[in-house]
Amino acid sequence: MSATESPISPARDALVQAAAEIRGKSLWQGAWERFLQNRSAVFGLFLLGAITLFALLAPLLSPHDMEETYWERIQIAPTLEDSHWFGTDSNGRDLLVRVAAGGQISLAIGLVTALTSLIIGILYGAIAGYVGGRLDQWMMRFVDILYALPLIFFIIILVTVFGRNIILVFLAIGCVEWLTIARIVRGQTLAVKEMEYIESARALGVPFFRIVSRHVLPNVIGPVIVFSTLLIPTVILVESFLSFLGLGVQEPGTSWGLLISQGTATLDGAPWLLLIPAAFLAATMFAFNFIGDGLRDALDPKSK
Amino acid sequence: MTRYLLTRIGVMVPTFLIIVTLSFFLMRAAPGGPFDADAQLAPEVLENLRAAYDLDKPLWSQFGIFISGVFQGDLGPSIGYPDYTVSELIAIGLPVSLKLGLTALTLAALLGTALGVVAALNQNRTLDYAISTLAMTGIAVPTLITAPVLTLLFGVILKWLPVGGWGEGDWRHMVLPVTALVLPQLAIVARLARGSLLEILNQPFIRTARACGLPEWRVIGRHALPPALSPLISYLAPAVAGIMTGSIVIEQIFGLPGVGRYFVNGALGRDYPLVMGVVIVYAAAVLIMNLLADLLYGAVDPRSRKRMLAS
Repeated sequence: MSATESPISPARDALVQAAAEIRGKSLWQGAWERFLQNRSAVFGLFLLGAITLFALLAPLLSPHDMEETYWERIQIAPTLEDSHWFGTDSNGRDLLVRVAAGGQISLAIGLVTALTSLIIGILYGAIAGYVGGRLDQWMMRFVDILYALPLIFFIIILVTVFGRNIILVFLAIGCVEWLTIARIVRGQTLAVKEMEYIESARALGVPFFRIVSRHVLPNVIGPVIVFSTLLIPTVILVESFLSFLGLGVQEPGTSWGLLISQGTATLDGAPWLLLIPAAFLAATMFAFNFIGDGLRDALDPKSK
Repeated sequence: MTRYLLTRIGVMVPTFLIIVTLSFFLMRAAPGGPFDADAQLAPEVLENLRAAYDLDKPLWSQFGIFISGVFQGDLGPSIGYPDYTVSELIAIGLPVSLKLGLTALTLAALLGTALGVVAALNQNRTLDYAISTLAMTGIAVPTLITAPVLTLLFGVILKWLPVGGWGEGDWRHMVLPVTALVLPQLAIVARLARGSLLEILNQPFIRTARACGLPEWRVIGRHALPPALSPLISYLAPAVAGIMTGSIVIEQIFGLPGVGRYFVNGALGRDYPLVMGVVIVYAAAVLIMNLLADLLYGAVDPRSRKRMLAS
């Protein structure tokens, strides 16, 4: 080509130079900037950070231990005295430390379980979508069947099967909550699969797993991230739900669900035992929902 | 239409069987048995008890007995409530759960749609923000919190409404449980209705209708609402599942004698027949609701029938 000799070349050179000076914005940079402009999302992030810090630090800083029983101070209302800021429960244990410890459990369950179901769902969906054909049909029919029932029943049965071991509770919930992710990833994979860059990777002889992991997954990850910020609160809720029914975390361990359940029993006379853990759970739910909405707006290229 | 119905039922029956089989074997894989709580039963007594409930037979023949019972409408005797059969327990619990659930479902559909439409017609005005905030709250705050907090407020502090119990279905006993049950679904329906209507209002045919000089109420009522609200029908099935899940907590908190309570007690006490019975009833309810929702949607939108047959 003799482009350099054409009359438009000076103009073109100027354009090339100008283009070189514009710093490209990656998808993630752009998304992050948009996220930061969303006030409620940033508020959600702060709220979540504060709750996490509280859950981690309060047990270390408080003079009380979560299992220590004060027989002379049973069910006292929140007070500055003896640093029982949230009062004590009906066994005379400090509520502040218990709320923090329960928060650690609830948040940990949320994270670990969401991660478990993410991994299962991504693998399942990516394989079904990428391989396609009959395998895809069967895999998705299976998901449809599981989808058709209220999952909470399966979780309850699984928990009964596994016994009330907390790690197994994590896994039981994780084994059940992956369905939506599998659907999202499959749908996205089907769309991405037909793109030219995948075809060229295949033409170059890139092996199957490398195509999926390097070329397919990074391009389907946006919706997955959004969904997982909504999955964590769902999982926390399921755990609270189980603990509430007496099927989850067991005494002397605790979680927000268990604390709310115990608070419900003492509504008449000690409402703070219900209201304080309920406020923490509700605040966490709001925080995750704000963050999720913010991420969705930020990661959706159409919303630009 | 007949072919469509047959295809649907053809998918439903195996789904139902898979659910029942899976739950049966999962439940039996659980460590511990229904008689663990009765400490120190003499071995002969225990053996007789196990024989009475067919628990001494091999698992496969137990499954055979169970399945053939299900198709004859016999769900077996309850182990935890020795004087009752599972069918009797469900017959006691189901009316309560149904009354709660259907009231909640109707309210969620009507109020949710109304709120969503009002929000969409007032887009980005105060009313819209107020409804959206309300919806966000409904989605974020779980039944687990709303139920006891409502009880505290209206039952314990204000003493307007009873704290718990069923009171033979008296409306005062239903207000708090139904409110707690309906909030999340109402919020989701409102959000969906708002989004759907906003999308339709941006369509060219709405612009055309306005350009033709139709009065606004006719544009909305005749041209915008039907296509905007018909997709909501497909939320019917998840809503039913959500209400069922919620009702387990609700029945526990308010001490209502519904099916959900039997399920939790059955799971805690390894009352195998009772748990299986509730799973069967709920699975059947969800599947039938799915079918009804699709049929309704198919009646409203013929394209969805074709899609179903194609797949």
